[in-house]
Formats: sequence, C-alpha cells, structure tokens
Amino acid sequence: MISTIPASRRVPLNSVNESPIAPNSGNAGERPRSKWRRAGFALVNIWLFIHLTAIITAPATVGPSSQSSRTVWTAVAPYLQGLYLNHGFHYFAPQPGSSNLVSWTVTRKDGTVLTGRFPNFDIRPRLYYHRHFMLSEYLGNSPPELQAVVVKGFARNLCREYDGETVTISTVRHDLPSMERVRAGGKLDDGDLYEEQPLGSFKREDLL
Amino acid sequence: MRTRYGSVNLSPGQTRIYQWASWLLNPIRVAADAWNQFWYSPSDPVVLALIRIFAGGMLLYTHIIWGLNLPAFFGSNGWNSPDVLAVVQEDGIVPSFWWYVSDQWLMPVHCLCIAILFLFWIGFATRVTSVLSMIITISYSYRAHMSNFGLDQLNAILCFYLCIGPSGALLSVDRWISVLRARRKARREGVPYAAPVVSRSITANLAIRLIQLHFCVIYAYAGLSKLQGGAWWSGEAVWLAFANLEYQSISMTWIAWYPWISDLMTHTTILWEVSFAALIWIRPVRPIVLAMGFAMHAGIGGMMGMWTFGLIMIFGHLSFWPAGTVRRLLGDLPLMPTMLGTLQPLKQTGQSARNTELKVAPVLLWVDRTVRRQLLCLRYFWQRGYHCAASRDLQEARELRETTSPDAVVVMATGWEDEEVTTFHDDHCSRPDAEPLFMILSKSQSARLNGRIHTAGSHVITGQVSLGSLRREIQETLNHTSDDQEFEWAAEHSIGEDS
Repeated sequence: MISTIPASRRVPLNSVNESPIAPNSGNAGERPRSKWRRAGFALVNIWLFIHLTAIITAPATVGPSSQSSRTVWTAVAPYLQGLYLNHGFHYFAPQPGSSNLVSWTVTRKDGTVLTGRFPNFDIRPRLYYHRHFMLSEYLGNSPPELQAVVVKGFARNLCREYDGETVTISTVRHDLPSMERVRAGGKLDDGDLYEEQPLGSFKREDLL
Repeated sequence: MRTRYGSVNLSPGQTRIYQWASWLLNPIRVAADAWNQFWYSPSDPVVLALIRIFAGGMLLYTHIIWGLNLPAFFGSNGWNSPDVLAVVQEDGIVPSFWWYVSDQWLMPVHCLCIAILFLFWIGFATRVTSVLSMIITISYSYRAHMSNFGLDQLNAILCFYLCIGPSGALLSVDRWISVLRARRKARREGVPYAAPVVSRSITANLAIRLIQLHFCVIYAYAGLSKLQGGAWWSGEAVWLAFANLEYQSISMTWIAWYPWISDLMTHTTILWEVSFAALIWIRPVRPIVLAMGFAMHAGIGGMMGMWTFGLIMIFGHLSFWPAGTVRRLLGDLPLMPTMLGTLQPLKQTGQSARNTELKVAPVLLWVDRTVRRQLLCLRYFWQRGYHCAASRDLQEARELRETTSPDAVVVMATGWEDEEVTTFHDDHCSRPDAEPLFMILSKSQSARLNGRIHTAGSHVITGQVSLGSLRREIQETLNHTSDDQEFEWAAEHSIGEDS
C-alpha cells in the first residue's frame, strides 16, 4: 500500500487528542484557554444575542406594532441608531403608491422668475436623481406639522442656490393609472393624474 | 448540516433523524454546539474579500455622487439643513462628523473621505480603513437624512460586517504587500520563496454569518410587510411599481395587456421574500433562491432605475456563495494565484470547527448510501477525534473531496452499480497525490469486480469488517500512532454487507 499523505500533514492522534485547541492559536494546541479568552468568548456571545435581537426588533416596530416589540426596541435603540442599523425594510409596503414631486418658483431681485420640478429626468446620474426623488417623497409623505418645517428647509436651499428673493413651493402627487386606463389609451403622465398642493411662499429675509 | 464533530452533508431526512436523536439525548449541549458551529467555524476569507471589492466599490460610487452638490446636501442652508434635521431626527442618536464641518470645509473633508473609501475598496490597511469607512457611511447617512433610501441602509450594513472580518486579507493591496514582504524575506535569508498561506478565520465566518442572517431579516420583513397591502394579494403590485413614472427607466406599460405577468411576478416576489429565510439554508435549493433573487434585483435595477440598490442586494447575496466556488471562479483570472494564495488546511491551522473541544485529527470523507450505517460509522469516528465529511452521492463526494481536502476516503460501495464504483475508483486513483481510498465491497460485488479495482493507494475490503479494524488500517496507512484504546462498542459493531 502506498500512502500519499505528505509526512508534514500527519498528526499523531495520541499527542493531539489530549490537548484542546484554542481558536486562532496557530500550532499552540497544547495551550488551554485562559479565563480572559473564555470571558471574551462569552462577551462575543452576549453581543451576538443583543445584535440579533436588535436587528430583528427594529423592523418589527414599524406600525402596526406590538407594545412588546416597542419595549425591546427602546432598550436596543441607542445601539441600532449609533450604527445606523435602525431600519424597517418595508420596501414597497404595504403596496406601491403614488409618488410625490416638488414644484417650485423662485423670483430673483431683478424680477426674473425661475420654475422647476424635481425629480426630473434631466437630473443625472440616476443615483443623483434618486436622491432628489427621496427628498420630494419625504416632503410629500410627511405629516402636516413636519411638512411645514421641511418645506422651509427646501425653500432656504432653493433661495441659496438660485439667489432668489421669494420662493414658492408646492408638492405634486402623481397618481398611478390602472391597467384599464392604459389599455384605453391613457398615459402615465396624463395631466389629470397630477394633483398640486401649495405649501407656501417664503421670503429671503425669513429664510437666510 | 454541521455537528459538533464536523461538517456532514446529509439529506433533509437524515438531518431530521440526526437532529431528533440529538435533541432527545442532550438538547442544551446540542444547541450550544450548533450555536458554536454556526458562528465560530473558521472559514476562508475569500468571500468576505469579494464582498469588500463589490460593496466597497458601491460605497465609493455612492459618496462620489454626494459630491456633485455638497452645499445642497450637507451645507447649513441645504435641503438637509441642521435646524430642520433637529426637528426631523428629534430624540434620536444621530452620530455624524458633518455636524462639526462648516460650509467652507465641505469639499476638503469630502475629498478626504473619498480617499479613505478608495483605500478601503482596494484593501489598503483594511483594518483601519474599514472602520473609517463605516464612520464615513454613518456620518453621510445621518447628515443627508431626507435623501436616503435602501442603498444607504445596505451600504452601512455591509460596511459594518466588513469591519468585523478580515475583508482585506485577500484580493487586496494588503495581501500584495504581504507577498512582497515574504519575497524580500526569502531573498534576504536565501531560502526558496513560498507565498504566505491564507489562514482560515473565525471572524470571517462571523461576518459572513451576520450578513446572511441580516439578509434573512431584511427579506422576511420586506415580504411580511407587503402582506398588509391588498395589491400584493390581487396581483396588481408589480403593475403599480412599473406604472410609477418617477421610478421607471424602461417603459413596462405593455404589461397592461398581459395582466397575468403582473400577477405572476407579484405572487413570486411575495413567495420568494417570505420563504427566503427558510429556503436559503437548504443547500440544493440555494442556487435557485439566489438565481431568483438575482433576477428580481436585476429587474429592480434595470426597469425601475434603482440599479445601485439592486446591485448592493446582489452583492450581499455573495455571502451565501461557497468559498470553494468563489476560489474556483476567480482562480483563472490574471494575478489571482498571488492575490488568493493557498488556503491553510483546517487541521494545520490549530483551529477546529468546534473551537473548544475538537482535536487535530485526520479528515475522513465517508461515502455511503445507507443512512443508518453512515450515521453509526460517523459517530464512531467522530468519537475518536476524526473530522468527517459525509456524502450519499458519488458525484457530491467528488466535490467534497476538493473542498474538504480529506486524508482518506472511505466508500461503502454496496449501494452502487459496479460501473459507478469502478469509475469513481479509477478517477480517484488517477489523480496526482490521491488520498488513500478504502473501498468496502460485498462478496458478490468483489467477485464481479475481481481484478478491476486493485491499485496502489487503494484498499479494498471484502465482506464484513469491524470498525476497529477499519480504523486501525486507516491509521496505519496514514502512519499515525494509535492510542490503542479499544472500545467494547467498537468491537461489537461491524460494517459491510452483513451488517
């Protein structure tokens, strides 16, 4: 019989069977695990338990949610928020809905009037477009009291960017057409699918 | 499945039998062992390194795009102005260095961040740059709070786990530097150069497991939350997504004439997302689950314009790829032999699958079609400190042979056709440095195959053999010194055609 195992790979069973191996210890098979290593191992296990609890709890607190999940979340929230792991993952849930756009008008000191709407497909690349889309979605989906704060920030940026004296902003809801409507010749950008809601007019001295 | 004794490939039925028996015998110990096996088995860092390249590239791209208009997104009078965010992020912990950066320093700080992200991407000083990249990712995300979406969440998740494991151990500048150092050292000492061997790492496994579990959580909640919406039940949801002009990058309105396509895609999406956390752990189904995931995310990327989000999800799926497959796929690319290195065999690393008790011992690949006998034999060898990988299929055994690098292969040939047995035997023995093969045949099988399968390096055993005898023969062949500890249990059991 020919053994094809290289000699360097042969390990005497009787010598190693008596020596526990510590993780990452190279060939230090004879060294028993110290109490510090055991403590470290226990800490890693505790952290794993907390981490898993945290990442499972975070999405469970998106409404509707139970009191229990909210209680657990309160305990792990600092950890989740500190690491930016506090997410709901409710993508396109409960169902895909209409989108929100922002329509604006800036009037400069010399009387020039600039108008715009975002997101629009002139904003490129696509990720940059999507950043603007998320802004308009945030504004459109915010509750009214928060919307009043956010729109002021938007107005301030438009005022700064286009050197405006007054800024008028409205949010535009773009509803989704049904299949029947499209089959009957409707388009995704038909005018009646857009519904504009003015959010206010702001003066430069109030913003900057 | 993995047991406290090593990695074993069992069919679902076998796994259930084994688990029930184990749970009945010692549930706490088994649960603790399973936990340790799952989290602390040392693994090849190649998968983590590959994720670093893809996710690191996406991280770099994401942050370059932020730079197109820094004052708008990070300035004091931008979209995300601090006074607005103070209201929006009320009571939250929102760590970000951007709170302390004034408007005139936006560009220099941004350029520094881009440089760090670039270094992380190429794997330079990865232990440091990975942590810095994590800090950068969190800081940008909180500061540009209202412009965020799923991509930023996934960027942070992957970056966090890449900090935990040795993501720069391979396919990196760090690896290249270690190779150069080894070359210089060999030249200085006048010895032949040997490329630094790649160590298996517990933290690599930990990071991969965390990515895997986080993706299970993501898909479970993504699927379950959709069940609250009527459109995901009526089949309209995919249509509604495609009919959203702001998301659209390719016109999909033609689906209005084929509603069944929307129905099919909607139901498939829900089923896939809800079942992902369960099905992904079933090895034969895993490629199908991942292929469906690839199709779904590629569709989101291609048709809904969110290719960055689609890609980052696909990059996360890499955590489910076996390290051996990744090595094989990358192996033929230029420079890869150096950048990948050779993986240190498990038994030489001083590490074991179960970090506290497993012993350094030979690895057996056990091939047997009979479930009960296989479990009996494996248990015998496990108890004597052997690592065992097992298979019920000869083709799978060939693959396992490559991934587990066994010291010896044992085939209980009684369950297969003669042709299959001889093919496996000839194929095995024709390999350079073939491991010793122990082939146990029934008497009738032996008579039929007489003279056809005897070669140097293979050991043919006919009829009955006791486990003790087989173990001694294996040990003698491997030139191991036996501890000569015989067990009554062992002597009483024998394997072969009559058992």
